[in-house]
Amino acid sequence: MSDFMARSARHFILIKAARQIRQELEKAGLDNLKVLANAGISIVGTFFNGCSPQEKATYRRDLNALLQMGVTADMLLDEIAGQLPELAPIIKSKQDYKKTEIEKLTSFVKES
Amino acid sequence: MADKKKADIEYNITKKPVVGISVYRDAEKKEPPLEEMLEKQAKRDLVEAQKEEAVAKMEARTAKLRGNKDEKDVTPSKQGRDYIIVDDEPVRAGDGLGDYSLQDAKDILGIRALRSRFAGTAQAGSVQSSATEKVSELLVAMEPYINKGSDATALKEMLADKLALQRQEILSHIPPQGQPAQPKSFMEQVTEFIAAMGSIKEAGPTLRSIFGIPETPHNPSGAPAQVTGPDGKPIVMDLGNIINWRKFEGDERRTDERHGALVGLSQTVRENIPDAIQAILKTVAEVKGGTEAKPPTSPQQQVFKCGDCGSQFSIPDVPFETVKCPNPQCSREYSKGDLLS
Repeated sequence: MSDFMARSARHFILIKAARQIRQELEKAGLDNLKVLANAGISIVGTFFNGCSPQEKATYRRDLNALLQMGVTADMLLDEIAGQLPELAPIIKSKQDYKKTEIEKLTSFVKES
Repeated sequence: MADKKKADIEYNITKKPVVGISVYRDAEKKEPPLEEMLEKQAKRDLVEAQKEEAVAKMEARTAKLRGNKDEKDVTPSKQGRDYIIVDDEPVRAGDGLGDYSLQDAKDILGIRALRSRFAGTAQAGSVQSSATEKVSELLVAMEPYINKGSDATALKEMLADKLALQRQEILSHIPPQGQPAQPKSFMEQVTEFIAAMGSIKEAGPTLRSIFGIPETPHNPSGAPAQVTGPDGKPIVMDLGNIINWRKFEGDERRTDERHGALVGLSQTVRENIPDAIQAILKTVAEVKGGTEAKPPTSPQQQVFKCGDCGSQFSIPDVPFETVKCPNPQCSREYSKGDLLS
């Protein structure tokens, strides 16, 4: 029962984090995101490059907390793709694109 | 000397030697009281009136016996007077032979009964003195008629009228004894009750001192204190009241904060209920073995440590037979069997 509650809590946090990231990504515009995905340019890398050091530190701290709770980068990207149905087919069609996004996110978390 | 004697007689002063010293002092009045004098005068007048009345009766009876039955001899005032009073009772004496009419006789008897009653109950009462004064006034008023030797019948009429007036006046002063008191109205009772309560309230300190009850202070909390009112002006209030007011304000603030916290919590729950439901659904799907919700198992890369230089290295993802130490100075090669064992 505790495992079920832990899994439910993990999924709940995953959904909330993905929603927050989606809201931040949507500020750039959904069309622009499509263009970036079609061009093979990493959306996550572009987003983190545009953040201030304070914002980077905040995002890094939150992502580390998610990783400690068992939420991996792959799960987070899948959830973001699920909440952005316009980008989901593009991301699924390009396996390398998804792998590149996971590496970018992992490297951002491991940056000191 | 003659003048002095005359003055002494005039002013009723007697000269009496006391221990060789001649002094003048007022002689005590020896005259009877006025009421007694009036009563004596009234008795004398009454006796004379009765004598005259008796004479008149004898003359009337003599004329009657002489056969002179002419109505001219009968005085007009005698008409209707058929009764006399014997032992306090009206007795009929004959047509025109009595002294009073029946009504007059009854009135006179009533007045006599009243006089005897007041004389028996209160010797020095105000009613008796008042009645005595009335009688005196009555006699004074009838004095000219008495002195002039007027007709006894007319005198009796005057006396009867005066007595009738006196009777009415005396009866007006007598409170009705047999008549029950009028019941008081509700407002009168309430007024009397309020008056009684007011007298009790006035007697409160006296009763408290009698029973030994200590004075309860009006302001038990203590000294007054000055605070700033809601309009910014200073207000002098009791310290206890100020403490109670501060306590009330604190309770009110805490209640408001608690209400706000509960409202925020309920709003947060309301906002997160859909996400929570979605999370539960995903968990259920993961437990059931669904592929979509199943979390991907991240490959745990095993780390090895070189026995020569101590450098750490991992096994590559690609199939391999030998692994070389990443340290260029060491470059020791490990076989797959060595690493897996």
